[in-house]
Amino acid sequence: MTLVNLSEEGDAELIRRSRDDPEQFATLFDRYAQQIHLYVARRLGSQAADDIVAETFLAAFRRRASYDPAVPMARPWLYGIATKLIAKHRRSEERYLRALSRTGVDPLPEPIADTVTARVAAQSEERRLAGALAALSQGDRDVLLLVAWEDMSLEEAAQTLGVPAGTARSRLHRARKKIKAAIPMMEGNR
Amino acid sequence: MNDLDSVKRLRRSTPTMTPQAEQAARARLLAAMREPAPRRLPRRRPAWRPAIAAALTVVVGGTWVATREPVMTPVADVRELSERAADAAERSPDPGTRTGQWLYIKELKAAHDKYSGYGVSTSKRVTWEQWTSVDGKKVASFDEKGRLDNQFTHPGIGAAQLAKEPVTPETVLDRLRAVLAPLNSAGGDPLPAMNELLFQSIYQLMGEQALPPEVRAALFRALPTIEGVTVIQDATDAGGRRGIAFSHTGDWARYDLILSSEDYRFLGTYGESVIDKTFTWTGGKADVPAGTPVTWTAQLETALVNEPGQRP
Repeated sequence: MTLVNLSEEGDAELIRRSRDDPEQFATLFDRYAQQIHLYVARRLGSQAADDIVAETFLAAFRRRASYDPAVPMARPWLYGIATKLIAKHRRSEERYLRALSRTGVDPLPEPIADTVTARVAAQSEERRLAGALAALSQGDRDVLLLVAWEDMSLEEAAQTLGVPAGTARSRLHRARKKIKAAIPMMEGNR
Repeated sequence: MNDLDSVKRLRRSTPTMTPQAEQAARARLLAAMREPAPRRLPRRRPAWRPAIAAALTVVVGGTWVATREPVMTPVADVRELSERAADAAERSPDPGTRTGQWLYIKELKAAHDKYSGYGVSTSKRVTWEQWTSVDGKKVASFDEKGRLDNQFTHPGIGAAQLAKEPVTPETVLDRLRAVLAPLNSAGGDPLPAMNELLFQSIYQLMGEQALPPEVRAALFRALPTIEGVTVIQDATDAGGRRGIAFSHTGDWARYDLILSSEDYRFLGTYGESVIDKTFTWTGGKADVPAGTPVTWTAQLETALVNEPGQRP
C-alpha cells in the first residue's frame, strides 16, 4: 500500500496540479515566501520585499502553465522571478550599500530588538564590503548573494538567473576577486 | 574566515516577513486564483445618478479571501460585536471637526475593470484619494485630467447633525431615515429597501466621516436593530488586513463593513453581487453575474484638512 503525503509533494507536481486546481499553488507560497522575503529584504529592505514577494508569486501563478515539469524544485524559478523584480531597484540597492559604506550606518531597518546594538556604526571591514558590493555589476552581485546568502550551488544560481553554469562560475569568481581586493586585511583571506 | 563568510555576515539580522505582510501577499495570490480567466471588457462606466451611484459604489472589504490560522476571538452574534465596537468607539478620541473642514481619505481599492464598471478586479489595486466635507454633503476627488470633481454624496448628513443631543441608537437612525426617506430613484432602478439604505449609510459614515465617539458608538449599537444585519467572523480588507465585519445582504448585493478585530477601528469594505442582474443605460448594458465582487477597499489614512484637494 502506498500512502501519499500531500504536504511533501514535489513542487513540480504541485504546479502541474494547480493548472486545474489553482489553490494548490498556495502551498508553494507557504514553502518559499518567507525565505524569498528574507533574501529580498536583505538586499532592499522589508518594504520593497513585501511588494516583491507578492508580485513574485502573482507572476509565478500566472506563468504556472509554462513551468518545466522536469525541474523538481521550484526554488530557482521563483528566485529567478524575484531577481528580475529586484533588478528594477538596482539604484536603490546600490544607494543603500554606498550609504552603509560611507557612514557605517545601514539604511535598511533592523529588527527592533537589535536596533540599539546593531545600529552602532559598522566596522570598517563591513563598510568596505558594502562599498565593494555596490560597485559590482548587477549580474555579478546576483550570483554572489545567491551563493553566499541562499547557499545555492553554482548550478542552482545559474538556473535561477537563466545563464549557463560557466557564466555563473565566472561571475562568482569576478565578484569574489573584487570583494577580496576591497578587504585585503581580513584574516585568512585567501 | 574568507570573503564569502564576510559576505554571509552582512545584514544577517535582517527581520523576517511580518505576519501582516505574509497575509497580504497570500491574500493577493488567493484573490488571483479565484478570478475567472481574464476576459477583456470595455471599461466604460455608466452615467449613474449621484444617489444611486453613491449607494452602489462606496462599499465594502473582502470576506471570502481565505487566510490561515484564525486568530480572532469570535463574537457570539451581531449584538456582541456591536457592543464591543461601541465600547471601543467610546474610548477613542474626538476628532474635533470644525465647520467647513474636509476629511482627506486615502484608501487602497480594487480597480473597476469588469462588467462596464459594475465589478472590480480582485488582483489589481489602485490608491484612491478623496475628500468628504464634514457636513456629510459633498465628496471630491481628482478626475483623470487632474481637475477636482465635487459632488453631492450619500447619505448627506454629517457629524454635527448626528451629534445633537440626545445621541442614542434610536435618534441616529431616525435622523438617517429623515434624510433617506425623501430620496427617490431618479429613473432606472428602484432604490433599495430602507433597511439596506440604513446599513449602507452607516458603513459609509464609518468610512468617510470623522465622527465623535458617542455618534460612532450609537451607530454601532443601531446596527443590530436593522433587520438583516449579520456578522462575518473573518473578513479581509483590500490591503490584506484581517478583521471582523458587519454584513447586510440586499436585493442585489451583500456589503460588509470591516473592522479591526482588535480595536474595532474601521478597516475597509467589501461588496459582492448575490443575483445575476443586467444593468442598462443609454447605449449599453452589462450582465453582471451573481458572485461578482463589486467593491473592495482598505482605508490607509485620514486627516482633517481645510479644503478639498489639500493633502495632510
